[in-house]
Amino acid sequence: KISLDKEYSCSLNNSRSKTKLQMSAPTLTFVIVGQEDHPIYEVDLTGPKEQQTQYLHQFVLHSSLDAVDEQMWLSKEPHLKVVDRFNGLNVTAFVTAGNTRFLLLHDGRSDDSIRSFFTEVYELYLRVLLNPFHTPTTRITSREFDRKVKLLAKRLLG
Amino acid sequence: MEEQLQEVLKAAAQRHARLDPVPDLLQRFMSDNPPDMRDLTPWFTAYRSEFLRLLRFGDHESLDYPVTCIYAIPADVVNPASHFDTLVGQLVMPPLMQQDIMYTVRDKDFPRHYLLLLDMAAGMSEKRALENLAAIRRLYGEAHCSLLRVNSGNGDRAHSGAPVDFFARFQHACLTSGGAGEPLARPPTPSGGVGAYLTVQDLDSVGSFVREFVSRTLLPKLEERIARLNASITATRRGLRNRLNRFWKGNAEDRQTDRPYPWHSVEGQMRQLGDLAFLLRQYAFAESTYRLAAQDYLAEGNSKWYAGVEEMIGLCTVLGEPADPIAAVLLQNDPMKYFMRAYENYIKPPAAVLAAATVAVTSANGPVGPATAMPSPPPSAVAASKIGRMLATRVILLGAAVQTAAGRHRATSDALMRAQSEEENARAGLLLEQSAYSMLYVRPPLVRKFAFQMVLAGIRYICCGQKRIAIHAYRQVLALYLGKKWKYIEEHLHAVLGAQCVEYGDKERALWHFCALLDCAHRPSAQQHNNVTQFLNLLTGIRDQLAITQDGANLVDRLPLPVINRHDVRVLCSDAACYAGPSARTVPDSTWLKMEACCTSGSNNWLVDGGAKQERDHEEYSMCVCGEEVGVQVEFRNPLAVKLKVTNVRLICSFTPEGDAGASGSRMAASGDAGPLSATAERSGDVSSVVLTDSAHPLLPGQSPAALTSQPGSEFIAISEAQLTLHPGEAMVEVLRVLPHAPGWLRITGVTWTLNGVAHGRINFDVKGRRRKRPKGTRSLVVRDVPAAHQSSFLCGFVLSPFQDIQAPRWGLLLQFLLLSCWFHPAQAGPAEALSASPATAVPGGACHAPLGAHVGSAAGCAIFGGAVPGDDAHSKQRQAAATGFSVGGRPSGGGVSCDRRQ
Repeated sequence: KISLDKEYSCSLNNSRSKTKLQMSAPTLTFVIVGQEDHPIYEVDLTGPKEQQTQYLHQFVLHSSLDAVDEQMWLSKEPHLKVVDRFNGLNVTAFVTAGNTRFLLLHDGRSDDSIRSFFTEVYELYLRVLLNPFHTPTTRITSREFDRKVKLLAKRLLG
Repeated sequence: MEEQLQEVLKAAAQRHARLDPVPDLLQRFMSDNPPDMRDLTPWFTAYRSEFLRLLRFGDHESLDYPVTCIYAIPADVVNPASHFDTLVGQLVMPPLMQQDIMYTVRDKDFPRHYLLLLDMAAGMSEKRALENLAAIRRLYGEAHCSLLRVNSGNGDRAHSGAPVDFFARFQHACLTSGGAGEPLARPPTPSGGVGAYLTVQDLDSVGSFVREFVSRTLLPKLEERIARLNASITATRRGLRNRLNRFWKGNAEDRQTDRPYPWHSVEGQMRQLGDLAFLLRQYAFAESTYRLAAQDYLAEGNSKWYAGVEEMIGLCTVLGEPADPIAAVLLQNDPMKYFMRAYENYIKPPAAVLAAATVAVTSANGPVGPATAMPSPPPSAVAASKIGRMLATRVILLGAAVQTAAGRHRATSDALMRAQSEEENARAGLLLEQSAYSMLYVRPPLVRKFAFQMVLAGIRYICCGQKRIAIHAYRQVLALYLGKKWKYIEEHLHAVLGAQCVEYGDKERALWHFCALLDCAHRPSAQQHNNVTQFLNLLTGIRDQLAITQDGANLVDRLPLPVINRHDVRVLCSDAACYAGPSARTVPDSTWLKMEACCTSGSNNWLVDGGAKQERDHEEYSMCVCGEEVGVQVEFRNPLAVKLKVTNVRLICSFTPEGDAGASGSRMAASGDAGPLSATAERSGDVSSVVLTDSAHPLLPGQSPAALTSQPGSEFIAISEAQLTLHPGEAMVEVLRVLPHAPGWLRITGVTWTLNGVAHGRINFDVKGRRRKRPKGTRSLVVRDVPAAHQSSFLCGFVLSPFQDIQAPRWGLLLQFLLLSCWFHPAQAGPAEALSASPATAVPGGACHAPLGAHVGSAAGCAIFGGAVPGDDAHSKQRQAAATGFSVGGRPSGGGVSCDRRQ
């Protein structure tokens, strides 16, 4: 158990090794967070990560929701740009009219490509929303949605 | 030093930290008077005071060094002057004073005082003391000598009136660095405690002595010193001429080391002047002096000294009145910028480390080649950088305190977060925790940021072995994360808390956390195996699993393995129980008609309106023959990549014998309170024995019935056990059986099992019945809220009593009804209900109206679907079931009329 704790600590506290790690494997995690703060869709766009990194990413994404809540009142645009940073991880957010939040965790990508990615995903999300059985906490499990998001990420985010 | 701090933290945590979270923390923060930070983290206050104390006596600041010296000897010695000389000779000075870096006692202008202590309790002669006083006054001067009477009490604190632990607050452990010339350990405390003989009068006289000494000796001397320093600095630094001089000449020597400036150098003098002015609360003057010094230090690249004066400038701006208040407001003069400047410069690696690094780079590029190992910096440099880091943290603590006092909690958090990243674990944990709490002071509170930083703090605490506060931090935020479906976060919290609980011996709590970890299908199989064995191992030692409860929930109810589909449960009855043959033909038609009448009066068919069966929405009865096995199809699924053994699988049933219909749900075992009840039991007993003999038929094709084992203490129903092995990823539909022996109400509420022979599990079914048809006028599309008390759902069977007036054959044609009952969850009311309700009227009427046979038997379980499944599907499946259903021989006279089964 002690070794387990040590692992957590290594992943979370040493920011330098963290940044080095990201250099080798770029971070790109996309999450749609529903109105009640439930993640309704999650995808890691750059392949599987080790366990501790996954923990860290979720923690960073979750805590950035506070920043999103603040930033969305400062802008008329749904696209909020980078709202939060932690140890070289950036969170870019997009808020829909229904207060669903798109969060992209990345390590410094161009804002334009992220903006167009969000806009396209928003189109897809609207189609999901048309489903009368979709509730604020329903997870998006549609395979087609997943495929299209991945395709968009490949095209727009590289 | 680090060890000492760790000990302090551990002790404070033991004293203050509770393992359980502070209740309604958020509500308290949202209320008008938020809790005090010091109450929330008392261990931080304790740690900080010790930390700041240990950091005193740095070589770049003269704040802590003595400005005066008092020699004290017993009053009745012979030749006091020689004693004073010995004392001066033995004087242990702070290390830096000895090295002549700080202004030293040896200087002739250093303020001194000579004191004779007249100990009354030791019986010193007052006359001699006065003689001695006169002698030393002649020697050292009238103003520098005095006599002090102490210990006039008798050792009894109750009478003396002096506070008991007067000295305890000031007796800290000695500084390891030597500090102000302290010994390594304090002298042992006398038996009566320190200051046992002091009285209030003694303390007063000591006070008046100090007052007099300060005003008559110390302050004039300090003023004198300030004047001297000021004059010297003015001569060399201040003014345009000096500045130009320095500008043209440049720096005299190139300082590449962080060697401190000695006290007599101009740089050292500037710092001393600033510090003295600061101590005398001349903040404006102190600030200007510090600024002057800062230029010098910066120009010479002495980062530590520069950081030191920037820190002091920050403090001066906070403490002193701004010279121009309006400008201060307009420019938003934030002292934080000075603190941050100080922080930046404190953490700069000392010059020695930089030099070592350059050496390493040149040697690597040189002909020796890259094979040479990187020379490690000298240990002194490492220690210096460590101290630099601590000083940086000190600055941040000061800055954070200032920001908190000013109500800028977000800036507090920013500063603390910046400081923690490179800090040693325990301190980083403390900083993170402070930062987290300051997030809650922001309006509106940043709860999610708070939670994240608390988790980070917890991790740091665990790394440095401060388990107690770590658990506290984790538990504090657990409630904020749970139930939000962030699965990795929950997994991390449960893994850490589970491991910590085991360490603390809190098995029950650990079980809850490990139980939550069982849902780990997204992890590699080795880890899944780990999680499962970890949970089961911990559970093995526990005898009464039902006793493990938390927040009213039972661990047995929460066992997530295997996954059981509680919504899709079907009821099957052994349909082959028919009565046909020559003997049956002899039964007169009237008997059959009578028996049918009880089923067909009104209707058991929901297509015929006005049926008496369904009284309420979503509850349905099914019926089966008494003594006929009722099977319930339950789907078990293994989500993991680990083989699971499930044993002791059995249904949870309750049975209410007929005649006791009022007490629904509670199985009235033969308690002998009513005559009819026991009679029913007898009757059903022999009926069922007959059925058992000829019920060799399978419940389902290809499956032979398991051996029936009676539930202990129940003579009305027999519940059979099953066991199954689930391979990785396998899903299996198992038919669990119950055999009612007597007529009455049978309620099947759930299923219970044992996982891998250790863990008991239990789950209640959640099935939905059909909605009742309503007249069009009153029909509404949205289901009204169901009272919470009615939301528990169950399968229920109703067993009718055998008709007394019918000479029923011995095969006991008892009509048993199974009730399928269920409730919609009100939260899901919406379009789903609207759709699922509508097809109820759309079932073709012609499909089901064959004349009902004698054997209107068991009902097929209706398929119940969750809210998201279109209701259309549900009903078409029911229809299919009905169509492919059961053809049962019924009336002997008709030679087996097939009848439709409807539920």
